[in-house]
Amino acid sequence: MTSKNLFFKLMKEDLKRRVWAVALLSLGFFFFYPVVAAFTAGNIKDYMDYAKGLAEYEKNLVRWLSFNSGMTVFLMMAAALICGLSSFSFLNSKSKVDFYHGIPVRREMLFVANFSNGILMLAVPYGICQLLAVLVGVSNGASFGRIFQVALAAYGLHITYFILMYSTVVVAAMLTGHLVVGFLGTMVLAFYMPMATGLLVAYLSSFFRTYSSRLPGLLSERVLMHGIRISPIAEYIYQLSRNGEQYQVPVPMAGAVLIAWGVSFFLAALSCFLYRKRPSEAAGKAMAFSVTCPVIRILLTMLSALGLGLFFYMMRSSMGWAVFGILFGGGICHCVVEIIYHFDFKKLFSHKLQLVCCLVASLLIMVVFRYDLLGYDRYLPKAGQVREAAVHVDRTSDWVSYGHTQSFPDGHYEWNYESYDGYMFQNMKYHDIENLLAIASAGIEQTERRKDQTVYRDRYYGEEYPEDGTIWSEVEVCYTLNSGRMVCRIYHMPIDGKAWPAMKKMHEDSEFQKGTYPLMTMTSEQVDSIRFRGKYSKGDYGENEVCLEKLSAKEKEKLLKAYQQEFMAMKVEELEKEAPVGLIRFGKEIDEEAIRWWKQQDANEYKDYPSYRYRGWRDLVNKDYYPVYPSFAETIRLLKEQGAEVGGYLDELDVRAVQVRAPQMDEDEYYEDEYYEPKYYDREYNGSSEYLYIRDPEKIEELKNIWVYDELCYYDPFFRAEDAEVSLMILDLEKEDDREYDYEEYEDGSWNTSVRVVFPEGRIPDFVWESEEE
Amino acid sequence: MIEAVNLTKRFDDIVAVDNINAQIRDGSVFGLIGTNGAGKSTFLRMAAGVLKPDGGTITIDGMEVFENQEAKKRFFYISDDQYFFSNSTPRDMMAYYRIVYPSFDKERFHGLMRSFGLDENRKINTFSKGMKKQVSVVCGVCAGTDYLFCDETFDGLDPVMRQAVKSIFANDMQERHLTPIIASHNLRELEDICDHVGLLHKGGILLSRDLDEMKMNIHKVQCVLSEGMEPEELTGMEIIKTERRGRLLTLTVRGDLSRVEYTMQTANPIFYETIPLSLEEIFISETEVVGYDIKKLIF
Repeated sequence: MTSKNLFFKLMKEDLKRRVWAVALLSLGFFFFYPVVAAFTAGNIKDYMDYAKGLAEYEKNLVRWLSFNSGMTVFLMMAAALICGLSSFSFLNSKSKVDFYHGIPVRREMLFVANFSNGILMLAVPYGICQLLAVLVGVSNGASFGRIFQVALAAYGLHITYFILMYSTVVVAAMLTGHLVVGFLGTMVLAFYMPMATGLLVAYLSSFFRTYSSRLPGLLSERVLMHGIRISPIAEYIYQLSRNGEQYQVPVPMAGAVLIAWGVSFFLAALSCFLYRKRPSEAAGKAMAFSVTCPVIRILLTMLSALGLGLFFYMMRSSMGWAVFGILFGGGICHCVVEIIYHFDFKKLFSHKLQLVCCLVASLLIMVVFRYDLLGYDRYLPKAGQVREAAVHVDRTSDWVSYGHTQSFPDGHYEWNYESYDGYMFQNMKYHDIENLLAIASAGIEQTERRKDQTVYRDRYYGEEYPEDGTIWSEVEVCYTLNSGRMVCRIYHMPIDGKAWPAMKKMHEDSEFQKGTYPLMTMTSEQVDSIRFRGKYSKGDYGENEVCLEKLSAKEKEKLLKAYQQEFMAMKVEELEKEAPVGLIRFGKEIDEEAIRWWKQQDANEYKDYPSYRYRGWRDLVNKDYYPVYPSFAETIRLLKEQGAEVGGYLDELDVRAVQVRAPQMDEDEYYEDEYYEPKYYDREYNGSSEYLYIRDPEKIEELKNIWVYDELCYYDPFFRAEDAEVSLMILDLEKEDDREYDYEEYEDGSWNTSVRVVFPEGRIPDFVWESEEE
Repeated sequence: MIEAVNLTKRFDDIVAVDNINAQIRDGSVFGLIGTNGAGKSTFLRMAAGVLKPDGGTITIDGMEVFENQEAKKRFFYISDDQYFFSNSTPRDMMAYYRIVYPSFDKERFHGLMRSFGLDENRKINTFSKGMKKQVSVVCGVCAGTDYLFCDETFDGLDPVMRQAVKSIFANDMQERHLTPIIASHNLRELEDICDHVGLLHKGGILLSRDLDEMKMNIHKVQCVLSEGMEPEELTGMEIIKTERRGRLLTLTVRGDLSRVEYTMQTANPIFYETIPLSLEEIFISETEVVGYDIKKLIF
């Protein structure tokens, strides 16, 4: 008999033994695919318009059959467990091992036959049911080409990740000698790395206040994600979510699929190797190889000890509880593992020395993190060690749009977001290292002070930052050292405190500006249109903006250069005092295409597109605007040349009243001397109403010259404004009938909306506080 | 020939087989005797290539058995807890064995199943323990291998069946030089079938001899010696044990039978007769010589 014949006969015989699993999987797939395809076809009749019903049916069917189908993932996971554990379950029984290892068949052949069967058991029923579902769909009128293509691609991808998970289960089966322990082993292989990586991130972010996973470097989210992905299930879900994030845009999967096949092949080869080496006497024991016992025991004990240690520390912010957590978590885990290894309760402490070493190591790790013995938060390189740096100051750039307009295959457009720090770390080459180190050392000082004062849970939200007008911000610093290594830290600090001179110097530095504001590196060739918002618009889409489409290339260049020069020349002192008078956008060709497309959809009342896409319009149309300040003389002159009105942003509003509310303060806060302001006190805590109303047209006219539109201030992080909340109650006759928006009904009609404004610091006229309460 | 050289197997701290040296010649029935835990099953599992020896070697005609397909084709192994596929029938098992043993004799299988009165299409899990053993033996015999390893296979067979199996073995030994290796804890079970016996104890082999050789070389003599004569004065035979009941002596002696008889005649006793020893008695005598109380070992 040839080996080939023997191989196929062994496969056939093995399949006979596992026909139950084939039946179970076939049943599952049958209900999930052809039955669902037939069942949902009934929905077509629910639509008045058959074509629309059919389109909806086809869309749902495509979603169901595609790689993004969550239910299929669940099925694949269950199937991998069933097939993997059943393929080699004979290794767990002494009598079966005697039988299979006593016959004249090489272990390799037995392995390949059973391993292949495990895959075929799923691949065949899944393929048949997927095909049946396609046929059911086609018989109900869906297009064969589209559904078949999606089903075929999904089949290939799901099978790929099934094999990855299945191979992992087989490795676990080879390492263990008992079905239940094999299942537990699978869980360890599948979830240890995600859990360990998650725990590492938890330790870093809990104890190191200058750590942020979004920063580049060895401990960045991007790098740590690779750790999480060292798990077949995590990788499967990761690829699925990566695919699902992009609406209807096929994500390149070839690389990921090749890696998955490579890893699967490696795991299969490893399993075969383990099978060859596996002693037959391992049947019925917990672990097949004694050498793996201490490794797994130590890894699990440490993970459990550190996990529970952190949990208790976070609950009580006490090292005492952390120590308890470590001892408790490590001890319990060690004992459970020992019971599983020996199937004997009395063997709880059969490796006491290992347990003690694990606990001591866990305690050391906790102490290193808790007391920052490695000096992570105090890291400050010498200026000579740093080649260049990138800095992100949250408060100075939170208004900037990072990303670009993207067109999709179905014709629609959306704003593709990019991370702000990603942009900066890629584009900024800041070389004034001494200045940056001054900011960083102020950040370190602040961090150390906070560390002494606060406990973990107060880290971001509960720290009592004084409401004294200080500008707090997150400052992310990323040094590129001479060796090429990147070291990043994040500081939560007052930027106008000790670091203020350095901060101002940095903000006025062209390297910083070019790395922070994408417009500063834009070239005139990229500019297709210029839009200017100089007047208040009621809606979200800048209805009153001016589009300067007909500018010549030279005019565009002139305006761009003027704006860039004036923006970069702006001093921080000026930013503190000046408020923007308008917003300008230098758009690219695709931006204008997108706006035109969305306006067309708007005109069609979005008949062709579902409502959830509306947000795409709002996202896209308000991006990339930059502030225009009164001191931008050349920019304003050029804008006016093109007919744009600059200044008087809110002048066209028919303001009927001004509502003022003093800043909100906690009672405790109020009694602190430094916040005491008699005028606030009188209004806030003297038992009277919180709101003041100014209705006198003359006073309103006077205030017009002072107030600044709140949304414009958003574009100037340094602008110093009073904390008082000010709303302009305006008459908007267009909304007269829309009573649900009314704030107050007026005798001669309805002034039914309000506009938020602010007063520049120190410029609230006294008559405001003398106004009447209502 | 199966040959074990310094064969050793440990399970954690337990030495199950300790440095065993043994030879099993083709064409004979080898009985492996020992108490529970003596290492019989472990020895057979190593011989069957199920377990990998920790030390020494076990070979079949010079071929290492472990993971050697060619060597494994030479034997059929019936374990003490033979596995049958769940819900399988004897016919299903035959189908499987036919795949892995190309010389499997299907016709003989049908014939033997009929002879044993076993229904080929009945599920094995409905069979009694003895019937399962019969199915195993039938499969083993029909596999057409040179060796048949039986681990406690006769345990559970009724005397009639045991006799039937012995006849089959005898037939196959004669026709195709089958070599059965039978492990058992019951000495009486093997007495009338084994040609060669190995006695295992605590993982080591106490002795390994041909049964005929042992029987020919050890005898029991009942005699009444002439007045004043003591057994020690009998020369020409080795007395290994002497029992007295009045003047009646029962001597266990080693040596050739004719020589023993000549010695007795020369001594001119009042009465003497030689009587054969049972296997048990032989073992008792032999093991006592090497310092073991066999009654504690196997009874």
